[in-house]
Amino acid sequence: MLTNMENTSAESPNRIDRRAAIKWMGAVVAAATVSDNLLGATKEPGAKAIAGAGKIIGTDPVLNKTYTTPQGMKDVGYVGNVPSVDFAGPTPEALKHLGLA
Amino acid sequence: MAIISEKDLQPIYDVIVVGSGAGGGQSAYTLTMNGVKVLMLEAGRNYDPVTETPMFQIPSQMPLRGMGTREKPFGFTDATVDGGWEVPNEPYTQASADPKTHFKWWRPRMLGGRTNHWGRISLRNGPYDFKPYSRDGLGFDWPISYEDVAPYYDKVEMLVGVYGSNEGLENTPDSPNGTLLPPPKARAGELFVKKHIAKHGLPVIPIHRAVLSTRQDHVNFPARLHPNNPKAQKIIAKAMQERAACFWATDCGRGCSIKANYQSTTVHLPPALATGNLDILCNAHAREVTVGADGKATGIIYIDKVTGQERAVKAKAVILAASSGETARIMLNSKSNRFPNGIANGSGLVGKYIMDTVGGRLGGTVPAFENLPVHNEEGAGTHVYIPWWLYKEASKLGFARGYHIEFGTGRRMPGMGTGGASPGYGKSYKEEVRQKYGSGIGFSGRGEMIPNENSFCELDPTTKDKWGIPVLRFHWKWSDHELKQAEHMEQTFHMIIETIGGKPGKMSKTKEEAIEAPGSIIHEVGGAIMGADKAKSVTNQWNQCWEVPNLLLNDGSAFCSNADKNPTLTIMALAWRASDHLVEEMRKGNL
Repeated sequence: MLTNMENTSAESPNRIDRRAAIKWMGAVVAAATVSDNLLGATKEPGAKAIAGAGKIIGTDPVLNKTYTTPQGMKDVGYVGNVPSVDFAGPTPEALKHLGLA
Repeated sequence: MAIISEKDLQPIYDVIVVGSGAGGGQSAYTLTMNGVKVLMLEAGRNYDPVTETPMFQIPSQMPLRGMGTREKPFGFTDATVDGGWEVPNEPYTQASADPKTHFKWWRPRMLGGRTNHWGRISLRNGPYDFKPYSRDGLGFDWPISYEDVAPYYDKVEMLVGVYGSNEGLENTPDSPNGTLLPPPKARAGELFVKKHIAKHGLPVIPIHRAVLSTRQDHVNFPARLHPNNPKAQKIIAKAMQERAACFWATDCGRGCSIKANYQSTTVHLPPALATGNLDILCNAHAREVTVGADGKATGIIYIDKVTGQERAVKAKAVILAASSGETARIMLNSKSNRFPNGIANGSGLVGKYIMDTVGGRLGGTVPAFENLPVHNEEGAGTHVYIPWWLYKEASKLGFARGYHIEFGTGRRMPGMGTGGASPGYGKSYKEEVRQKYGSGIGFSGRGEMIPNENSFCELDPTTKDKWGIPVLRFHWKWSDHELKQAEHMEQTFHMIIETIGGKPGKMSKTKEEAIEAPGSIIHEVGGAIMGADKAKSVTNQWNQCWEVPNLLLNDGSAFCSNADKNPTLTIMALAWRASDHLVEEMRKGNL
């Protein structure tokens, strides 16, 4: 398991909740909030797990930024950040995938 | 007239507006369009979203990959280029050491204030929201009703450009035909939630946001906005044509260089400047309102933040729209023989009844969203929401008032932390990330706080800022209504996530844990409430201070309730209404 989404934001579900970042403030938290082995797996209350998160992240800085690069975005299938005249909405394939077609 | 330096100041203006955000921007717009000569004072620096917005940059192009820091809590690209929770040299204090009573005060120091980074969610208060005391005996009724404000909601929606739809739901007002712009389509995950939670009675409908989904009707809107004012019509028609429609990419919170979203700096101030009636002075931090022998406001004393020198400017009327906390602070610091406890504070209510929005949240992962066929889900921030749906159940809930739900899904731009950290490499890891990317869902509740005696600000008796100005000291206490509401939010989110087959995140252990910290939703209002009785309020229904009729409070400070609807649209509607009334009173010679 790799994503603990409990601090997912309504506005940007793939990123940290901006307001969650406020709560603990700082870069370490941003990465920690989406990582199972820092929060979810420890079963510790959020703030307590966060207190020790810096060390863990400090040993593992490369992995967390993988998907912030053009290569990473391509790998994961992110196709946004391009201008378009209209917002097309979900494709027929996506609707079908969700049983909405 | 333009963005000026101190040497260009006129000896006297018709009106000084302190603050340049939603309230100040709207006030300056309405006044200058009516030929009133205005000086706007902004405590922060000049800011131009057209040239300063990082539109398409991705996290790998940013320091720390765009992550939040103490100085930039909303991330590197947040439009707030100066100011935040902490402003160097400008402290504020807390009355108690208990963190639960601490109020976090967001203070942008830049032209346009909070309008640069806000969520653009633009919901009208409904008829109930203006008469809450009459409905449940708590808090205060406004001295105005929905019908008084509705024409100004119409105008603001046309002026700033708001997408959304009319759904005819209880206490969720419709707009007149042709006022709203068409809403963007719902995303796949949003439609999935809508389908599965209908059986629980939760409606998922298009949200209203101040973003141009299409270009504005520059032919018909100007005459509806400014009847019998050809000059104003011409100016706003031109300004509307200078705004592009949204191109469905880039985060609105960074600002918008194509002017597709509403920021005071791109929507209110350019046409106001084009009238030739507006001077804007930046880095001018208002310290106090000056008073004449007749008890009327005569102008402002401000600190030039570049030189540190104190200056005075004069006007026939003063509008404070500095953000409710800063407005209260200026008033409390405006002491004179006539007003020993601060200007227009005979009631002792300046600084009292401050409110934020009740916030709660829960996220989860949804297996059904895994491996969703690749398509562009970026769009324009929030597209749909769930308005409060339990008006009929109010007596059974154990708390008063309600909340709406904002939620997010989709294959949005990855950031730091996407993919987690474990196992962290190899083929299977990458495949798992591909599978699970986009499967998250996040819910946020935004609910009504009832004003209470224990949540207020006052001047700190000892602490001063860099310029020697006494600072605010905050007191805060949630009532059980807010705490239970936050608990209810979390339970609802948990129910929704389970209903769609997802795995919810961890629930809070107590309701105190479920509620977001005071001030963290940045919907700070109150502190100088309006009312029908001058002994029990600071302003009348026209945002005029009872004791000083040429002093208006056109930001959120005059709010006497804080509905679940995000406050900005109502701030603008009331600022327009108050400014219209001010123009009328000036014409009649009543000030």
